[in-house]
Amino acid sequence: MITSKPISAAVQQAVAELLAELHARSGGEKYGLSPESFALILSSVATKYLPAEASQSDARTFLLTLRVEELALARACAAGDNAAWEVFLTRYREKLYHSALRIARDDAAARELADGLYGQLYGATGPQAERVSKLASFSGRGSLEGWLRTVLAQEFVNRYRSTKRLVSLDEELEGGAQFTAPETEPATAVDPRLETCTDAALAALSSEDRFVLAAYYLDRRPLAQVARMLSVHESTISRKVDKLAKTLRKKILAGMMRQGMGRSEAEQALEVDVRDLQLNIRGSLAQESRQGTFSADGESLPWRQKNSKVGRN
Amino acid sequence: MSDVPKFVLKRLPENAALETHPDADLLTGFVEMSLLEPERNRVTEHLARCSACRAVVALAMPESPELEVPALTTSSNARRRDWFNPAVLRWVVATAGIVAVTSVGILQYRSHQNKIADDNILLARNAAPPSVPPADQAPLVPSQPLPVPPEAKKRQPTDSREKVQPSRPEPMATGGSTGSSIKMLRTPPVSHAASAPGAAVASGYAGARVSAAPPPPAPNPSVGQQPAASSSSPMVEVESQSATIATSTENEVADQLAKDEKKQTSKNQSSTDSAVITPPSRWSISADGALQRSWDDGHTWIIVNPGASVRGSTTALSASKGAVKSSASAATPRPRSNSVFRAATAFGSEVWAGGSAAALYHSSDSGLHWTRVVPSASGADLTGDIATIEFSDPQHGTVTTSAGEVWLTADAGRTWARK
Repeated sequence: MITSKPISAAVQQAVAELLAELHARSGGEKYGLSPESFALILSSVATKYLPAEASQSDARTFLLTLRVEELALARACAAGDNAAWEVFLTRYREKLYHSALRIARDDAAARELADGLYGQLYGATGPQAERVSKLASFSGRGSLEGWLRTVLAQEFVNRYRSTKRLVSLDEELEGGAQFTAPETEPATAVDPRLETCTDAALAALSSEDRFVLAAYYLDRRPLAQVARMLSVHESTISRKVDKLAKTLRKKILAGMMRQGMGRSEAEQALEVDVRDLQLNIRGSLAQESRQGTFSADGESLPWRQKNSKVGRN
Repeated sequence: MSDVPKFVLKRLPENAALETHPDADLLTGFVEMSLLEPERNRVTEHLARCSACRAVVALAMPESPELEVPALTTSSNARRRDWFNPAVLRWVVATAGIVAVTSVGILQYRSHQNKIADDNILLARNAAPPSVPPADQAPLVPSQPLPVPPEAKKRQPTDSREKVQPSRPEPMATGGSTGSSIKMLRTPPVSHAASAPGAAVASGYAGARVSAAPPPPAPNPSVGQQPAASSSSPMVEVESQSATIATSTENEVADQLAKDEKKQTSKNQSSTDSAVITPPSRWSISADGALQRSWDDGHTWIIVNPGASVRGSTTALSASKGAVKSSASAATPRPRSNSVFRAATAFGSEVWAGGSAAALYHSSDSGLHWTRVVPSASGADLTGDIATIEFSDPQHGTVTTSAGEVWLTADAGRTWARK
């Protein structure tokens, strides 16, 4: 993985300081991964995720959080090392199919999903006979197993959205979809003051609070799942949701009353039923653009285009 | 849980399609809590607006409820905060309180049930004769007169219930000398010489537990079977075990008591299925010659009238040495209900009682049913007052009359031989 962003001196110094320790910990020697090669990998990863103004201490802290053992294994596999592939297959092949089955919930779909990802991990041969493995994009920010699950989930989302658009007309007829009444926007006029106050109240929330609201109310996810996504207890999320709902209502009402509305009028405006929101994961995913959300080469759309330009070898 | 107005949900920003998505590494780091704080905030901000990435995160969660070990310590701190969260502690305290209250309730209920069971047992013992105790827990046999402790003499009767005859402590005459007293001992059988008229003479078995003090309460005068307190007629209660009780020294009594206590303890420990151990009954002869029994270790006494509960018919048995005439035989008159008894002995559930006018009764069920026994040998019946009864085991016994006759049996009283 080559980054066009220049490697800062702080990153270079941090890598040089920790190289011996991290290389020994990674076990890259048995995969033929020299310290110099590993130093280049570490530098590229740190440059990709760290801001340009990061200090040497920041770079050191960042490097120490990396899963260097799995990083070395993935990069060795991407380079075509047989010993690394044996280790990878021993550790992750069964887990890969197991995770695919849990995501797809269908054996045939899971096999197809896992086999497709396995081909990408092994690496397709490019026009110049160069091997491009998806494992080259693994940067060790988390576990390799978790990364594989995430990639599988991204693949599944992309496949679902693409196959959803390929539903035949007969299937829709059988499903009676043509008889369903089209959802229409209500003709109810919304007070612009309500929109302003609502946007202000939502903007005042923290990103985690908005994430909780969206996951619980829009995605209709169970409290336990939302709690697991944030690594907190379910009761914590339950209290947070309840508190958020009350706080939001109170703030919006207060904002509208500050803009000259009476309390009863504000409450009436707040209860305007814009439409019955029946959002769920699949529905909301199907409503998005035709373009795949996550690129097929393992990189999402340029998440950090502002700070770095990531290439691949 | 409170609801958010749908209009507010509609205004939640869902415009992530216009921007980029975090890569798989960042989403994995978010799930595993391994991102640095600024990165995590950015990813969270994106997830709040991107349903696709929320779906990916939800699908990429590990199967186990326990998340993988994070690389940073922030998640462990978060978990620790969860455990010490007041909401969690609130439920823990509430659960512990419920468990404590339930436990106390169960204990109280069990204690109440045990108390009711004990009361029922005591009531059953006072109201009617209990079931026949095992042979090794035999009823008591009155034996030799015992001295009464001075403090026992001061005790006054308090219970005047019908049929429950408390006996007043009285000195018992032994060997014809009124006022001289001896202690009841658990020793090998020793023949008794005490046969003075009017004195309660009883023979027991060795190993019987002797309780000379406190003596039974005074009898109820209303029943008419207990005479007025007489300072010259003490009482003795004997809990028969396996042998004859005889006079002995205090040291022998102490030794025998220690042995019996040890024996009883081992028996109690070995019987695991008996929740309530029924103490053996005690038998005694009151000062006025009434046969009485106690189920509560001598605290209360019930007069037993063998003549009133004699079985209707028994068959006279013939033997080489003699025969036993049943109470149904016309030749043997049924004694008065208030016969004067002078001797009683018990061995397990086998109880023998004898007194004036050749009144000899036998019960094989701890006094529930009685049979009048008239020892007879060579056509001659036992006559006179029975002075002593001695049984070395349930089969072999000796009956001595005031006239000096000695009658022997080797088959639990079915046949007799005159010595």
